Amino acid sequence: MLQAVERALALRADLGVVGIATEAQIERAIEGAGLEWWDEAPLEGRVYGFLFDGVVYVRRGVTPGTRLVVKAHELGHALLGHDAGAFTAVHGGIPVSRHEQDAHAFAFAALLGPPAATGTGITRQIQAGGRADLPVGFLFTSGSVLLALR
Amino acid sequence: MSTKQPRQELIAFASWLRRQRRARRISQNALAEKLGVSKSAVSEYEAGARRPRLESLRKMVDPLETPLEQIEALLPSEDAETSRLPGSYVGWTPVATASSTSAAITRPALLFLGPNGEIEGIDDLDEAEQTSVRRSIATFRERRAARGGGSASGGGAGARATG
Repeated sequence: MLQAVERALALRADLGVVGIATEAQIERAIEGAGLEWWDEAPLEGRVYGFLFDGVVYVRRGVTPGTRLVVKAHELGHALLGHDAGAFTAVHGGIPVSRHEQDAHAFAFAALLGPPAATGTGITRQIQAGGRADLPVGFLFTSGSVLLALR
Repeated sequence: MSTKQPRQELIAFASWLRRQRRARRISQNALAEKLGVSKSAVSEYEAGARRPRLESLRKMVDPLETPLEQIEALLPSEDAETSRLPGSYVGWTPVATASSTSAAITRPALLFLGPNGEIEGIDDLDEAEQTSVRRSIATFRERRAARGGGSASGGGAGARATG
């Protein structure tokens, strides 16, 4: 988890991100990692994005905030080396898989900056993310994961 | 204090339970009484060493002022199992499950694709969702090939332009 956050903060430094990262900055990082992305994936139901074979697939028609989070999350998987191993299946709830928790933590830190050390601080970050139209589900889940493991 | 080892999948719930109980100034003893369990059981819940039974979760709704659906969303389902599959894919699916926007929870569902794109195992996705994943991969590959020999060059911007 700590490694995921550190990796995200290093990325922010490399990109010169101040405040909430923009989609253009995350896309630059995706390209820098040797990946492609596709914003028009005809995904349905509950599937909003995935990483496969060097491509970040993003569901077409989603809000800019969801698009940004999906890209940051999947970039996290790639940068943390999750694309060549085995994964843990989960059945609902906050991600059980360590990889999913790490990808969420990465996305949170990459987009919003260093996770606060207190619940109040995390709440403020969640509120800031909400004002930037990031998906509230992501914000609560990743914030909870960071709080639980802080 | 519990002496059992915390379980990774229970840590988020455990932390939430501890914070909620303390925020409402409820002692472990008092919560145990409301749930009809021992104090050591509550201690183990808060240590992530033990998963509460559904009956206990239901009894948390009133004292912790939280809908059962949200409490359950913090936990893996009881039939959660660990699978190690030779895939090279991982995804996530945000789904708002709570009644209020502020409490929306993400429920992840993972897929596992084999090295050639075959879906080797899918968790919690219906047929239409599985089909949409396969169609996405196939469509992207067709468009990339049409762009010129399957090169990934053009990066994300090129990929986006094909949509």
